[in-house]
Amino acid sequence: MQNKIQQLRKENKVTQAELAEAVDVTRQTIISLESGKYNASLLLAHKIACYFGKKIEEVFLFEEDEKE
Amino acid sequence: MNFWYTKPARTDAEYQKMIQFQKKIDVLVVVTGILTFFIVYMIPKVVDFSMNENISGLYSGLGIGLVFAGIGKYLQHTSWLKNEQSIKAARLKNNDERIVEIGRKAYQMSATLLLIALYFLGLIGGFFEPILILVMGGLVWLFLLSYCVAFFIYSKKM
Repeated sequence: MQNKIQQLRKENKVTQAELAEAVDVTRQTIISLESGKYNASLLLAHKIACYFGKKIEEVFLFEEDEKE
Repeated sequence: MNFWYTKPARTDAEYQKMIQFQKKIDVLVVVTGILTFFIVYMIPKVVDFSMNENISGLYSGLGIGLVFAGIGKYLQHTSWLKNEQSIKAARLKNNDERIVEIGRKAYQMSATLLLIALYFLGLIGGFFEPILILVMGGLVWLFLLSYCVAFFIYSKKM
């Protein structure tokens, strides 16, 4: 699953630490999400999407083979 | 790793409740340590039984270790509860979903390794000490049985 967290973060001039604080996770989790090493839970995905004022599917890009 | 709660705390208030419960477990650990320590010294006096000195030292060390570990964790948990910043930092560190996921995977891997080790220890050790195959086999069955019971309980809840 790919995501646009880094892109949105830079567009909104938000640091990893600020995003981590806002969505109640560690900065390392944000780093892992941005690098694609870790996939967010539905709850975290929802929190991140809400933080940027977007829908989940606008931030997280599900690939067809993952849906199956 | 938290063995008692299956869901991570979402708020500081939830985490405070978890820590308050954890403090009771800390006390239980201290009591277990004290009991272990006393059993080593009391059993040989109460029943006519002489314990190997190495084993006696090992048991004493285990008891003392549990007492100090329990006291250390109790003090740490008490200090967290006194400070809001500490409780938040601890919650993030211990309840972060990625860390919980890593812990779950590590736990799964170590449980698998433990099962394999028990099986081979029983299989090979049984040639030299027949009791080993019974003990190790019993532990493997206990593990599988507890897994099935836990699976059944959680399948009813989820």
